[in-house]
Amino acid sequence: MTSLNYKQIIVVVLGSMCLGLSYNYISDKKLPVFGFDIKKYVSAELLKDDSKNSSVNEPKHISLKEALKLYQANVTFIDAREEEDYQNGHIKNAINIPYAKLENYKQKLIGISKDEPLVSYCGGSDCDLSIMLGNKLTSLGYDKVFIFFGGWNTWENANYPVSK
Amino acid sequence: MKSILTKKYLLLIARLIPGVIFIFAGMEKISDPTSFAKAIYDYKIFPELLINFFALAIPWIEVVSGLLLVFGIWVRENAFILNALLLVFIILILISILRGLNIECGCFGTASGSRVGWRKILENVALLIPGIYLTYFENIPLQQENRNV
Repeated sequence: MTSLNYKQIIVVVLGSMCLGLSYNYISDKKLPVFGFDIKKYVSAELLKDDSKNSSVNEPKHISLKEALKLYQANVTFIDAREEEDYQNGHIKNAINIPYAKLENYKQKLIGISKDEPLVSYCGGSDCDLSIMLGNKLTSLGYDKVFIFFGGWNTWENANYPVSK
Repeated sequence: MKSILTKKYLLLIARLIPGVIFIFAGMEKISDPTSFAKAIYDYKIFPELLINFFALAIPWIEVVSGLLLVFGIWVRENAFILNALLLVFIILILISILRGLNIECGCFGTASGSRVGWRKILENVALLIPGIYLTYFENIPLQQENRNV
């Protein structure tokens, strides 16, 4: 039994890595070499489905299941209801930007880059603050805005993580 | 004479099967690096920093090593590289089964949609056999072949 030529093994492995990185550099599906952004991946997946039939800059309505996917990927949820409602219970880790007082709360958006995905929600089917906030966010330049119209009621009924 | 011929075919098959499978598996992943990165992420075992790097590098090792194996270049070494990859895959799938993760295997990119499970382990173990044969049990015919190249 002859022993392996380890130099050849190293040449093949390192050579392939260099090829991979070079190909990535010129590829149209280029990835950043280090890191992986699960938020961007999940939101891109959701947006991919209907990129043909809706214009790019319009918030996308999502179901409870889709909202959960985004939640699990640590996407920022924004509660569009009044502060009092928010205090009484909200989706865990969500931030509060009451649509009615948007100007006072705008500073909460500082530090959130425009290509970050955002989910806007409110009470549920009897409220449309989520839609108004979603549209507003889009007009402010956020290009991956989702509206979770089912909102707080659906989320709470499904026993998903909440803060009270 | 006859046994040399049989051995030659056996050797060819032992090179071609893993070689071709890895070329296809690698190309599938190269065509959609993001999905492969997501598949690696789902194993929940690697630091996020390294996920994209793995997703970019591993498929090319598969394709290059597979091609070299098919063309009979540095056979023993490339068989060893592919087996090392297979061993890593087997361990990863095993860990995922034990952790109860129902995730996509990512074995052929995500296009095939196959999930981790005992079947995948079996496939990978079976694929180890030609490589082990080439790396550890085959000496003379390889050298003969190298002389012919």
